[in-house]
Amino acid sequence: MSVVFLADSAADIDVFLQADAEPESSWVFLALGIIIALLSLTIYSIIFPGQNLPVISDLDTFGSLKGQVWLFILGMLVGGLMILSTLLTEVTRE
Amino acid sequence: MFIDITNHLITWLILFGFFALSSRGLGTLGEVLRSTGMFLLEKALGPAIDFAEGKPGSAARTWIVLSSLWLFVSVCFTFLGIWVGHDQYALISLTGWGYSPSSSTLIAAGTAVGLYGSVAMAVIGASLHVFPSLCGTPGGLPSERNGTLVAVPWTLGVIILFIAAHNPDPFGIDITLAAIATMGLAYSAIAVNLLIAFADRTQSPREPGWLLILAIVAGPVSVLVEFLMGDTNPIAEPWIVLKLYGAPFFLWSVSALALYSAALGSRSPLWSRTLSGTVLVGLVITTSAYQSLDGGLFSSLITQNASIPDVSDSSRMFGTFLVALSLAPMLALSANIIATIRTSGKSPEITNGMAILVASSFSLVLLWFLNYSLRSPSFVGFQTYEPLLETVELMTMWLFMIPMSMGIVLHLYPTITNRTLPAPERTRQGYWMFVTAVSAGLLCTFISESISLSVTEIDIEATSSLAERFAVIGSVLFYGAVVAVTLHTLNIVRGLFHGKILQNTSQSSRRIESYTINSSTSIRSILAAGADVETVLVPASDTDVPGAPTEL
Repeated sequence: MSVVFLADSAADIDVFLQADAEPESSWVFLALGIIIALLSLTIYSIIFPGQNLPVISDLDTFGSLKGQVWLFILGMLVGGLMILSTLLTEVTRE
Repeated sequence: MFIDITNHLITWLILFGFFALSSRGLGTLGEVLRSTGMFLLEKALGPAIDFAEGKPGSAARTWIVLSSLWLFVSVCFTFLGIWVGHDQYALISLTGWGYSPSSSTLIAAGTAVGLYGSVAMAVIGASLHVFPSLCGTPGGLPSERNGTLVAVPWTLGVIILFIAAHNPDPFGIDITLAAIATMGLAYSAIAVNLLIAFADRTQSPREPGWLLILAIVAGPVSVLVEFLMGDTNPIAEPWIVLKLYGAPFFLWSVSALALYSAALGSRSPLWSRTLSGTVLVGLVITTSAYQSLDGGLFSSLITQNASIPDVSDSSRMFGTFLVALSLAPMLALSANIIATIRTSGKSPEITNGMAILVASSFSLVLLWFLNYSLRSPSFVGFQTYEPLLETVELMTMWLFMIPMSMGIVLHLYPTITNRTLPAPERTRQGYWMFVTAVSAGLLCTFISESISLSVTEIDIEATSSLAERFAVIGSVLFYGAVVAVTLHTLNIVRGLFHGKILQNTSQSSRRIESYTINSSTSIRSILAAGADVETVLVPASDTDVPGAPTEL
């Protein structure tokens, strides 16, 4: 089997180099937002080296969950009971 | 001396001898093995064998369902271990009930159950289905009833191992050995069952099949060589049991089954036969050094207090070289799986396990580099990155071993149970949640421990709140894996009762031996005509006889 390579032609320019659609505007804003955020972080670290970010650094991401492992254990127990009850009810179902 | 170059060479020689002799058929040995083996598997057990049903596929189904249940236990204890790592008094209220585990105890329990309960049971269950298919063994697995029955001692062994991870000698004796012995009993029966299937084969098992049977045989061979060559006492040195359930059993068999699932799940032939051969030879030659030089994932589990034995400098050099060389089969395995699944031209399907096989193949290479770079100081006796190795082991298990076994199970589930999974959407949610939670959660934990290690090494008084923050974020993110595994297990269990029953079309829809192409034809129409990968495509011009009328 051979692979056919086609030479570029002038007709291709109109076909391939002309975009015929735009990405959804939400994606444009998302990309712009990420770029601006990264730029801001970089500029901040240059202007105020070694300093915490205002507001954001004061947020305690998941720190307030410390000591709350029982919430998670409760979830695990619910999951385990769902599996167990499924097994029991399905096996004993007539 | 434990590790010896001679031992390795003899092990390879025996494995090669097994390969060479059995590739021509087992001959008289096959006859002896068949009759003796069947006696041991069924009649020797007396009435006990009647407890198990012998329907086709029942053995594989039992092992795979149990593996999913163990996976749930494993992820719960691993999560608790990661949590207690940064919040050591989290479970303090359980002390009143006499249960006060440390982080490493919980992680060891979760890992032991994950490896020996989930991964090993999935591997054995899948092997019981896949290997007779690869060998074309008439009637499938020789003893379905024994295959089903021995899931009981193996499960018992995992339970004992789980207890041993908390307290290895509750009655003054090391119960780890009892667990290993119980599992060894089941392992022997499985090995005999598969060897009989191998002896009855009607076709070559191809590369994945060879790797699978070598994975089963390599453990006992390795133990035998230790006994013959050294003065090893397994009671005094429980480390030897790692020879039985080490890299060959886990890594080789998972690799073989992943190759099988990738090819059949994507309906594409394996991308490269050379890469399949590289995986087969490369894994056998290089990864047997894993358990001798630095047990890593496998040695720290069932014998937590066992020390890696002293080795000579030449053995260290030899072993280090082999470990470095093992990158080749890892790359080959990863590339072959990804390329095979992508050959179909579509995005990998999540519902039949292809997507998770691709994800774990990607992570395999990254994990190899992480393991090698952080373990290499310990090869020469330095403990530089010792505190990080526990997380690296967790990553190896939760980003490679368990996702691979989940992918294999998802692919084989409809074939083994003859039912589909009841909720494809739940499988998709579980996949995204699992991959995100495990990778992000363990990465955060790893960053946290790296910061702690750096702070400790430079010996400063300052405590880093950043490390603690990352630890908390890591554990919370890892909880996503608990939810994902719950969804996965529920799907597996419910599928046994509510999955759509599949029509058995395996033999009826076969297919044409050759297909003559008269003009431009799409591949879809060729496939629709009943062609498969073995069908020979014949151009119309080849059927023309000069001077004769054109065949229509």
